[in-house]
Amino acid sequence: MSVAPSPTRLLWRRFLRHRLAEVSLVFIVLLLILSLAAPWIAQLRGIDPSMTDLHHRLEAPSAHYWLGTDDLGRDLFQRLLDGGRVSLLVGIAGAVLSAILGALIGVVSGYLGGRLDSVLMRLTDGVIALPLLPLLIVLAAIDPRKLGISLDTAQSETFALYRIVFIVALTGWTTVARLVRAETLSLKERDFARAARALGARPVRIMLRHILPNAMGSLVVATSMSIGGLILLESTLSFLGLGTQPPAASWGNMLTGAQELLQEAPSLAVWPGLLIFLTVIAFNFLGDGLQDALDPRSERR
Amino acid sequence: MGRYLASRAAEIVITLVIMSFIVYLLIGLMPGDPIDMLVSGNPRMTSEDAKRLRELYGVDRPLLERYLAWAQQALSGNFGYSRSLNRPVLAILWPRLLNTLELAGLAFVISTAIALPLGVWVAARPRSKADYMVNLFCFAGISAPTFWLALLLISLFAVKLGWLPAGGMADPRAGTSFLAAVGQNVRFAALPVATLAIIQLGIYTRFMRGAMIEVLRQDYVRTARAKGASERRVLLGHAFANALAPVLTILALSFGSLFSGAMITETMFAWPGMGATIYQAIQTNDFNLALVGLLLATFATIVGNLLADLALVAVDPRVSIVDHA
Repeated sequence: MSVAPSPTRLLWRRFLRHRLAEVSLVFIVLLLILSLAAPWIAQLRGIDPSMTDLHHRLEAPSAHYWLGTDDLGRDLFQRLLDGGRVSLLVGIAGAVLSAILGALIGVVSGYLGGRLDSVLMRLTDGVIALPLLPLLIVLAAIDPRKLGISLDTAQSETFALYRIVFIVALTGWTTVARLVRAETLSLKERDFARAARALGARPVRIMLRHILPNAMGSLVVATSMSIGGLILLESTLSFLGLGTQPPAASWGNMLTGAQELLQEAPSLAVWPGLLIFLTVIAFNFLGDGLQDALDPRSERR
Repeated sequence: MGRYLASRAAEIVITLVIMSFIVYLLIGLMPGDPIDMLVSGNPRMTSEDAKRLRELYGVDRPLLERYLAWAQQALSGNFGYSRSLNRPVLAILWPRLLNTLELAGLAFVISTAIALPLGVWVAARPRSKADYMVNLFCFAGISAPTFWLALLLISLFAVKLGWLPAGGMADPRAGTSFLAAVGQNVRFAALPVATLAIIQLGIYTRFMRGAMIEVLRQDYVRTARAKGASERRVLLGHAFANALAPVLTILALSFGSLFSGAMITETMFAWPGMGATIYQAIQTNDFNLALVGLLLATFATIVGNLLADLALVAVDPRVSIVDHA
């Protein structure tokens, strides 16, 4: 007689049934490790990825420059890893931030209902339906000094990072909010929520301790599904010169100059774009796999 | 019907007022102000002059006061001038709105014309090889960065093969025959429209497939099969009509992202549309052009939404306008 597997184990098995999600997870973990270890890899290879070297512009791949060099003579492979760190960080941090924001809005909207609910849902629909990109571009172009932020802070790399995370999070919360609201509507009528109310628990406590933990599954799925879109958004803004600022590398800003160099160096346009594409598709498959694993009734089985 | 339209119109006005204030506020936070531009354009101007000009134009006034003054002008039909192009902003924006509608409209028609049948087709054979391949393709479409796809299409069809122009819009000279002008138009529109259509195709197909699968599980579909209706009739007669309603709702919500996609596509292909104009206006600190452009884009999107909702009423007798109002 074998012992019945634990729920986590079951979940893991169901997840692994989704082959693409499995491959995607491996890809993402590998990319994370490589990009976090980029400084040490650079040291081992004896390459300084930030140093421009005009004698070695646009070199073909070689034993020294694994993927060749860019138009300023920097090693492409190392820049891709550095850019990957930014993209992954912004995508994941942005998704977590938008999950928190969306979960709060969703649970409040669903639990309290009434006027507040209809205002919040109108807002959510508005954010989904309106042309958001131009607004985000304006937001990315504003001068932080006009908000009373000192010049030093405004120009620091950390500030630029926070800013882009904040901007992408502004678009990501809507899906989460709608999902959590829907869950809340059904969870708040369940017996455990009624019992908590009967015991005199305040609404805040019921929302945080009883409803949100039970909505965690769909929250995780929604978050993982939003990472891909947010990485796309970050790369788009950086490509337009409004996200991650050079000399810091990001997959988006590495493509900025590539259009002019299409004739000379097509590979400069291929690699960063390919990595964005593969990473985003990997996160989307991951989300799909998680959804299948967490929702036994979902269709793809 | 009248009451419904009135309430929708009120909604549109409220949205536009809120948007105009937010955009006005954000644009005021962009680097520099209109007087800075005058100063940098005229080296003899002293800081005294700049101060006087600021008072004259009211740039030193509180935000709300400036916004109300702008709104009053806008309501009387005066949307002001573009600083970089020296023409009234509406005169610049109208023709470009049409260009964007051409691009986005063609992309929308082409992508839905492929996505809806494809979605139905794969929903009829779930978990088959075909379903799997289409799903893979949809994920690819959803995950490809618009600007990178544009870059790849340019490098293949314009740079390498030289079949199609890399950017711009047809500008037929006088005397060109109608057919030749249309041909030119198609050549210039091909790559931008393809880019935008590919990006939307994956999303739309997945919507359609999901909605169909949901409907195919319903009892009335089983009943239809049980009474011997052909598979074709079950799919198209019973299921498709019912799956279309939710899909239309989502399609309406996608107009905003269609515009965002058009913004990138236009910028990549130098297509003189609204999106590219707004982007350039932001880049060149042409505040007024950016502001009015953003509002016009918002307006177009909401009206598109409304039209889609009306279409929904037309195809789905269960949705009645009275319930909405």
